[in-house]
This record gives sequence, C-alpha cells and structure tokens, in this order.
Amino acid sequence: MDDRQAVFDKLSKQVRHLEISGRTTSEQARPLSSGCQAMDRYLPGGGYQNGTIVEYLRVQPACGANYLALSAAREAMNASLGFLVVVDLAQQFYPPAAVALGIDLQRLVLVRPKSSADALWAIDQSLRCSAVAAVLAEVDQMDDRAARRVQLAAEQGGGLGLLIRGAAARSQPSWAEVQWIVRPLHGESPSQGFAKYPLSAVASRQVHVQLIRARGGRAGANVVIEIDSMRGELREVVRHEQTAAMHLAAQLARPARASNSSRSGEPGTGSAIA
Amino acid sequence: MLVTHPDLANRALVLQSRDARRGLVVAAANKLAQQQGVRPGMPLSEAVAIAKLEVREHQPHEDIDALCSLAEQAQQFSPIVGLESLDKQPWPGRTLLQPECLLLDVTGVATLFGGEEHLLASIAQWLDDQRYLGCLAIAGSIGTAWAVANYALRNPRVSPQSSNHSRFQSIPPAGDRTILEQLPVAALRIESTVVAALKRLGVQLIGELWQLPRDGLASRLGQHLLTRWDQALGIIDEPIATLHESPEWQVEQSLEYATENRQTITEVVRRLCRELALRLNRQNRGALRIVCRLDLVDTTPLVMCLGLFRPTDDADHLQALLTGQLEHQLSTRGGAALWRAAVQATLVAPLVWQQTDLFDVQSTGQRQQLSRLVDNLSSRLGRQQVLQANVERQSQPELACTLSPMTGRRMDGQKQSTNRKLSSRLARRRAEPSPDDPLRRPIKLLASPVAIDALAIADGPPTQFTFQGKTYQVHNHWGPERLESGWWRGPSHRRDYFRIATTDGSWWWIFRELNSSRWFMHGMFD
Repeated sequence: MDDRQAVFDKLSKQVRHLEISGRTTSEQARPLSSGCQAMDRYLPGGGYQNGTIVEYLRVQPACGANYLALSAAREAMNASLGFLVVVDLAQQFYPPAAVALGIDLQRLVLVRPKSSADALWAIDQSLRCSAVAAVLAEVDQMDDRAARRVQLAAEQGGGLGLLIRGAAARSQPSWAEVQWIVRPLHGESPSQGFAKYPLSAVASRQVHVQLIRARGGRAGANVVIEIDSMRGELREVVRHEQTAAMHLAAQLARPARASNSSRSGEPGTGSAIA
Repeated sequence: MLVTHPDLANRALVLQSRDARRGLVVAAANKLAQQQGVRPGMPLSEAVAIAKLEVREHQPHEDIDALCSLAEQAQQFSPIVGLESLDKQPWPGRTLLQPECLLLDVTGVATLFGGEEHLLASIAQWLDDQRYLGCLAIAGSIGTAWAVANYALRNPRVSPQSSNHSRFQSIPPAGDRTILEQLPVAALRIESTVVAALKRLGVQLIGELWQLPRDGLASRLGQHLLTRWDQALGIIDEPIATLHESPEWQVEQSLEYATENRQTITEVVRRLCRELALRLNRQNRGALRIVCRLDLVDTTPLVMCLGLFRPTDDADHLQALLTGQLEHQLSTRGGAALWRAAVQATLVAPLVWQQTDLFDVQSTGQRQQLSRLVDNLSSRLGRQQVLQANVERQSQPELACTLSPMTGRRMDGQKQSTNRKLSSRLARRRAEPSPDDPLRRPIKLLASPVAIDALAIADGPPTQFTFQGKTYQVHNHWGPERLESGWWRGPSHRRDYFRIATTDGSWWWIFRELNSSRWFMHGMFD
C-alpha cells in the first residue's frame, strides 16, 4: 500500500515538473495575486504567473465572476504599473464599478468590438503588447485554435489574460493555466437582512469558487469567498458548522482580534480568517 | 449626434449648454423639438415646460470633431477646404460661438463634375449618405454663398413636410445682387447689435440697406458692416482658413496609367507614407490624424481616416496601419482602378509630448508600446470602438461615465479643474464611486434600461421578477437608493434603485420609475 502511494506521489511530482518546465525561474519568482489570499493559497507558486491565461467559468449570469477577475486585474496592474484592456463585446462594462475597485481609469483602455471575431483579435493584440498588465474579456465561443493563439499571445506579451466564460467551456479544450468555476451563494435569510441593513449598508456577498484546473498544482480546492461590502476585500469564509469551534479557538488565542472580526463580519455566516 | 445614436432620431431631442449669464440654455434642438416650439437659445427650463424632451449635454468638441472629419473627407471635391472664421460675438441666429460651415474653394473644379449643379448634387449625395442634412450654395463670393446657404436654404421654421435631403442652390455670377437683396441683413454676418440698430432704422433686408448712403454708415454702425457688404459682393477678397496645418504635410502621386493591381496600390501608399514620415521627421513633428485618399476611375474616391494616439513620424507604423485598412477597403470595394493617391497629415503636433497627467508609467518604452496597440486597435476596429472612460459628477447612472475615443486628438491635461472648485467635497463624494462602497454600482450596465415584469408590495421592493424569459425569486434586497436627475435637466428621471439578490444567488440592479411605477432592469453585479 505504501509502495503504491509512494509511486503515485513520485509520478504526480514528475507530471507537475513537466507542466511547469516551460517557465523561466524569474517568472516563478513573482507570482501575481488573484486578489484573494485564500485563492492564492491553492495556486501553484502562490498566485498567477505572468504571461498566462486564467479562466473564470460561471454557471449563470450576474454571479460575481467579473468581480473576481477585476480584482486580479487590479493586482496585476499594481504589480507592473501596466495597463488594463477590457474587451467588452456586450457593450455593458461600467467603468465606475472599476473605479470603486481601485482601478485607475487613466490606465484603462475600453475596447468595444462589433463582432466576436474582432473581439478575439483585440484580445490577441492586447495580450501581445508588453505595456498591458491584464486583459479582461468575456468569451463564450472559442475554438481550441483561438485559445492556443490567445495563450501564445499572453506568453509573448507577459500580461495576464483573464477570460470569463460560461460553464460549458469546462468540457472544451483549454490552454488556460488556471480555471476556476464560480458559483453564487446566497448569504443570510431575508428577515435578518431587513433588520440589519435597512438602507445604506449591504450585506457582504458570497461566492463559491472551485479550482478545476491548475497547471503544476493540484486542482479540486473549494473556497467560499466573501466580498466585503465595505472595503471590497475578498476573504475566505469558513462554513457555519466549523465556525463556532474555530471562533472559540480564535477567541482563546487572541481575544481582541477575534471579537473585532466577529463585529465586522456577520455572526450568521462566519468570521474571517485571512 | 443623431448619426451615432440613430435611436434618438424619433424623439424630441435638445442639447443643453451652460451660458455664463443665463444658466442652462438650449444649444440645439432637433426637428421634432422645434415643431413643439423649442428654439435654440431659449432657457432650458422654459423649453422643458412647453415640450416633452430628451435632454443631453452639448459636447462642443464632438461638433468640431465631426465637422473636421467632414472637412477631411470633403477634400475629394476641392483641394481647399476650411471652416468659417468667426467674429468675437456669435452672429444673430446662432447660440454658440463655434464654426458650423465648411467653405470650399471650387474655382475651376465644377467642370470636372460636369457643372456646378452636378457638383452640388454629388456633395449633397455624399452628405445624405452619411445621414447629414446639408445646405449648400455656390456663389461668386464667400459672403453670398454663406448668406444663401444660411438664410435662403436653411429655413429656421422647419415644416413637417420638408424632406430629409440636403438642399442646394447655385447662384449664377450675375445673380449675386438680386438674390442678396431679398435676404435679411443678418445674412451679412454682422453683430446682433448692428442688426438691432438697423432694425430701429427700419432696415430689414439687405436691399434696403443698400438704399442708404454708404458714406454715413461707417461712422454710425462701424467699418465692419461695410467690410461685410463688400465681401458679400466680392469687392474685397476673403481668405479661406484651411483646416490642414500646411501644404507640406500632404504628399500626392498621380499614376500615368490607372491600375487595379493591389500590390501596386499598396506600394504607392507605402511610398507616400515614407515621404510624409520623412517630412515630419525633418521638422520634429508627428502626425495625429492621417487622411489617405485614393481617387478611383469612375467611382467615388476611397477615403481612409486614421487617428493616432500619440504623434508619430514612424513610417513603418503608418504604413502598417494604412495598408491594413487598405486591404480591408479594397476587398469590399474591389475592382476599381486607381489613378491618384494622396496622403495627408491633417493634425500635427510636436514629437516631444508631455502628458505627465495621463501616463504615470515610468518607462517611455511602455508608453510607446501602448500607443502602438491603441493605434492598431482603433485603426482596425474604428476610432469609436477604442475608448477612454471618465467619471462625471452625475447622479443618473447612464451619465455618470463618459467614453471618448483615445485617438486623433490633442490632449490637454487640464480638465475639470473648475468643476472641482465649484463643487462641495461632500457632493463629490456622494456622486463618485469610491472604494468604501465597492458594491454600490454594478459592473455591467445595460445601455438602456429594460422594462421587466415584477411583483411588488406597495412601495416596497419586488418579490419576484421576470427578465429575459426567466423568473427570479427575490431572496434579499438593499435599497431603495433614490436617484433623481435635476429638474433643470429636463423631464426628470426619478428612480428608486434596489440591489436584488435572487434565490439562485445572482445579483441585479433594478429600479422603479417613480413617475410611472414601472420596473426596469438596469445592471448586474457580475
């Protein structure tokens, strides 16, 4: 039994080596944060690599995938002081939301192509440009050739390609380095919401992400992320059942901090450990 | 504006601008608005009171942009194209101090088009094709042509029956005097005060003005009136201030034999690019706008306009952009023979360009890379497709963000400074997005709100709604956030916005129009 385990470990290590063999060491040195520490933890190398494609697959519209991708784009922009190109085929991207996320509009180029062929071309061209830190685009239909082309473009330019795709893309061939599947969760029950957040403040939003592909790492991680409505941070949420015990342990360890976090988070859903 | 937003064509539309003394006034009104009695120059509040209107902000630079690009293309009709030169005050009948007319020197050109009438007809056709309504006149002097176009053809009281085609008229050389006599004195391009003074004297028409003794007019009404008088009759010559900076930025080549061969055409364009780049380089200048015109045998010329993000004198770059467009155009037009090609830089700026505000990117290399990318994108996708976003202080979400093309214009880094000073800090904080409240605005906003069916209790939030054929149950909501457009902006939009979380976990931004109590979908928190 131990033998088999050892062989399995050895083989998986070899596979991982093969997968990341193309990378140079300098690229590995500075990974880009995904905007969420919990997500970074599950990524090989502790973040996204420069010059790669990251795909967020969403199961339904308006589920929060764009928010996660924009957070990653912001981190990439801050790391290299480069530009963000948003390829917006649907003509719906609303820049004030990006401002609220801390993205400088002076460094945002909004491209609104008229056809999906033009959109793919724009993604390709933007990724090839070394001044571009990240390209954010929604791509529903992409054949494997186009996907490969986009990946090569990212490799050449050294920027991060953030693609938002439908869940159907899961079964399609992909050249992405990392794939997340994004599922929405609903937070607390309405009655609590009415009472606690009458007008201005909004309860934080929860999103469940699953790592379904990570070259050079292990896929399968599940993370529940909360978008903090006050600061816009992304933090991990530990499920309710576990929270009580964790919370108690945290209180025993560091009373002041634990009580702080329980005040800012909602007691119903759990406290932050970030 | 109607050219870019055809959906507005069927509504009464006015553009507002801010007058220093009178507050918000109507800068322009479309035909439907004018039928309801709205006139340019009237206070906006008055206009709103008498008609149901769609009000938009007047963007002077967009007018100028559109006029300039028309001027660039109009070079297919005449080599000398210019904008009218203005006086210090707007002329009577105009609310804005900005050029509205294009002047073309067509001396000796008409014969190439088969006579003046044919020339006018083809210009009118060219305008109609682009969905512009033009008023055209050819006359012996700029003054007469201007007067006829503005006062004989451009009828301020638009009748509903009037067609949507451009109107034109050609004045025979001897007819100047007779036609001018019938026109009001304002057609002489004189100040409003002079027009008023003449009116007090009982002089309404130019013909009546000519009856007065000329000697006394200069001392009473100013020398300017006499100058305009003489200009109208062609006694004094009037220059056309051409739009292009100087003729040295134009290179042209005529072919001995017309050719259809694509390789040859591309090579000709290439050579012209190199020549232009060389000239630019010698003077340390860079082009911001390039117009390439290919005159084809038997059809209308092919005009390609190119906007650039940063001034450039790089021949390879220009070549690549132009040939890219050329291939696209030739493949759609195909089969016409080229006999003359011209490449011209219509907007030129010094090469050393300081844009500290726009780019805090350290390395110049990175900056160059980006400008190449932007040029590339806008050359293939179109200028209007590659945009820069600006956040405005407006409560109405559609107006809170403006998009402008990144290429083909000179940028000055001093914007909004006056706005900033006037506004209180609190108001600004409320209107502008901030990281303190990241979930306040959706990441995606529908171009125009979509009406939805919703079930709601009285004034409360909806409990269920249907959007795009799917029914959603509301799980949680936040709001209402009431957003109203100012009463001075025309018919007010009063909306109660709700952030809605549905039972399947999606988040939407929907509102109830308070005037009609109907529900609309406006955005999604994606």
